[in-house]
Amino acid sequence: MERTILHVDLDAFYASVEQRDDPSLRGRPVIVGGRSRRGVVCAASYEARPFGVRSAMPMVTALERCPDAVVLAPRMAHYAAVSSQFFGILETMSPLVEGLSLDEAFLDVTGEERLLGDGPTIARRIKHSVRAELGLVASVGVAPVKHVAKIASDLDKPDGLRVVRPNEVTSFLAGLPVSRLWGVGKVTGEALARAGLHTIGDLARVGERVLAARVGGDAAAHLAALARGEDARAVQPDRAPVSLGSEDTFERDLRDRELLWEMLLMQADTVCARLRGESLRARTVTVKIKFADFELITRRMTLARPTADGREVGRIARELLMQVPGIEQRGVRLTGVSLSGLTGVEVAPPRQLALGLPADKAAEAAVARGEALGDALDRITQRFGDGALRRAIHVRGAGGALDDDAAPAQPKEPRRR
Amino acid sequence: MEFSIQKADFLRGLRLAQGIADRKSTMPILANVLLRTDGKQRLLVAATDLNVAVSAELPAKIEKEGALTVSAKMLHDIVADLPGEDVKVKRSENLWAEIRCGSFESKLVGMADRDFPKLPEPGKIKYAKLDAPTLREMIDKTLFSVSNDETRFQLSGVLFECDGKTARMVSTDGHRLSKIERAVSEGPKLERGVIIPKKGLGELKRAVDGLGGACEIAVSGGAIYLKSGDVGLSVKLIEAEFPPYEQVIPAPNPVGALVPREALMAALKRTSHMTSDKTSGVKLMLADGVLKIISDNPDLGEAREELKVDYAGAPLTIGFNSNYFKELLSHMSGDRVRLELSGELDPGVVRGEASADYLGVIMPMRI
Repeated sequence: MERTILHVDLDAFYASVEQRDDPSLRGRPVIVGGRSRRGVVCAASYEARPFGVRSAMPMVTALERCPDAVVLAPRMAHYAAVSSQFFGILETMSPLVEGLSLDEAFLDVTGEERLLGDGPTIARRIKHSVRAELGLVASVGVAPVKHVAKIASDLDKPDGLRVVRPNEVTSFLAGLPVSRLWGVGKVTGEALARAGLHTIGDLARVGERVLAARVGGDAAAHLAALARGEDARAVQPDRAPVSLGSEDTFERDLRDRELLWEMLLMQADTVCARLRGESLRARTVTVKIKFADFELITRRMTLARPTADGREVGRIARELLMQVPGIEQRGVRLTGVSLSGLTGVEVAPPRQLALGLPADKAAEAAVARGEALGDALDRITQRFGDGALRRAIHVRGAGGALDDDAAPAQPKEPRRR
Repeated sequence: MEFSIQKADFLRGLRLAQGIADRKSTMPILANVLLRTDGKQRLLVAATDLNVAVSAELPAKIEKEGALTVSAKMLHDIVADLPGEDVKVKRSENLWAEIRCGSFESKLVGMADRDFPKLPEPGKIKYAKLDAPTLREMIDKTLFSVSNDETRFQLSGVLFECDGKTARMVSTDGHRLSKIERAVSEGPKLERGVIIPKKGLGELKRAVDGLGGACEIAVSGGAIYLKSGDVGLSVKLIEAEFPPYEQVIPAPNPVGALVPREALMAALKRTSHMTSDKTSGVKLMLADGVLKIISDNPDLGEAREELKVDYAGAPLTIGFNSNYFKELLSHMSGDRVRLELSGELDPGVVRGEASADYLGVIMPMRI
């Protein structure tokens, strides 16, 4: 059956939220990102873009290009709240909403003509509601498949609405550069350019066998299908995450293992809180360490049973950290903790019985304590907000060793300049 | 550094070094083997991952003293395929190792020996003798039930106890346990049990592999040392308390079943085709003179087999992970084993029919 897919993307999301909340910022170039020497651009308003400011660019470069920009620290908790309002609007339009990030989603609106109208009508309703209720601007692409809808939403940004009807798909794609396709990065793009293949139309014309000689069989099949306008991926609502992580770049390189561990513990707490929020538990703990020379290493450990206990994850992170040589000599610019091997909260007791060693009993009790503490933490945070309760080790003057220098370059708490 | 050595000798050292050299470490030199002459017409071949270290002092003809480190795996693979018996190795400028044998020659990039970690020096310690085949057997019969759970480091090795007369090894992963005891003469007298980590035990086993006579063992300063001929091995012990395992070994049960060992293994293998991959659960039904093994998987089907056994107790039905049984039985010896089951939530015990020196405890599964 022919489907109708919408791709909805909020324009310059973080920067637009800031301009919405503070009228004095409207019409001025605004950059949201880390303000330290090492910060990167998270989002740039449309006023900043003509200067060549782009997401993920080092802040130093961005400010060279656009010295007059207003730089704001990201307020992630606030954006997340706005995002959930945004998804609230989308969910009134279709039960099939697949979030890609805070500001981007696919909707499958097939068969809703009689209820809400056809694809373009629903797209206009979404744009209208986003503007009226949130004061933000959305761009929407309407197409029979996901990847075409995504390309379409991007073409007329900002405030775009591009409709690609089923009989227009191949002609719509034909003139676009291959780099627009999902899966075509620098390497594939160059390989295709060497073969004289520049547009998506070129790919559709030469077909899979010619492509296979250039990019290999698997990629060729994938690209040929996309170029023909085929994409079998369905819109998957509530896709479970594969992993959750938290990481921070430091203002200065850290060489003290204890201090690094405090950062890891904080990150462990952050990511465990998110895990509990999603009613998930994780089995694999991965610690990420980026040295001052930019070499990135990861160390992982798998637990016998899934957990969402920040203390337990922090303990594993510590063990992994202590095994990494060269910290003192090389210095560390970034650490992160991520959790994978995610499962739902287990209800049934394990079928394999344990011998009942004293350690088992202690572990059993520790798990129960961890779960109870997690519940309590979540309730306190819900009532009093993020950061209402912190570990003593993370409070200055309470025996903790965290000082200003060691604080993450991107503060977690809302803070404005 | 320049020496010539017999391929078989060289390879013996390199094989041990290769197993220990750590290619995944962030310290690249740990993937290397250290080659060093010692001024006494012997070549030291050594490797370490900082927890386990091996060194072999091999007979060699030394032309020029010196040292170098090169990739343990690469050198091992090259030497294993050499066409002749006489191997010449020379350190040339810029840390190259030149290897010649017959008309073959190779240049291998090396790293300076001064960056190689210092090898453990036990100093003056007293070694005690231990029969090598006995040590090997004890390791073999306990290594399989060591925990793979990295977070429970006190279980990630085998407990080794020895009062000089009886040597004992115990391992458990929290679901099953195996214990072996062997009488020894003049064995090491340890004040308390030590936990030898899994990788180190594997290497100990390799070092005494194929050895007929006695090897020498000593425990000192948080490590266990092994000397066997010209090979020395040191393994850092796990600094933890092994759980009081006696508590979870049931007292001998007078109502046991005598079961043909190999027939039970084969029956478990056949029936476990119908268990789910994740749990491998089978049901054991014990009744007068009969042991039934039953597996059923709602998605696949079912299988059952009956064995004639020597049993006169009350009928019992208990679920177990069949892999635990298969592994344990494969490490036991003798035609028959004694299977002691009591309740569906109680541990099952398997002992040798005649001797009580090796046993396994397996916890049931809820079925």
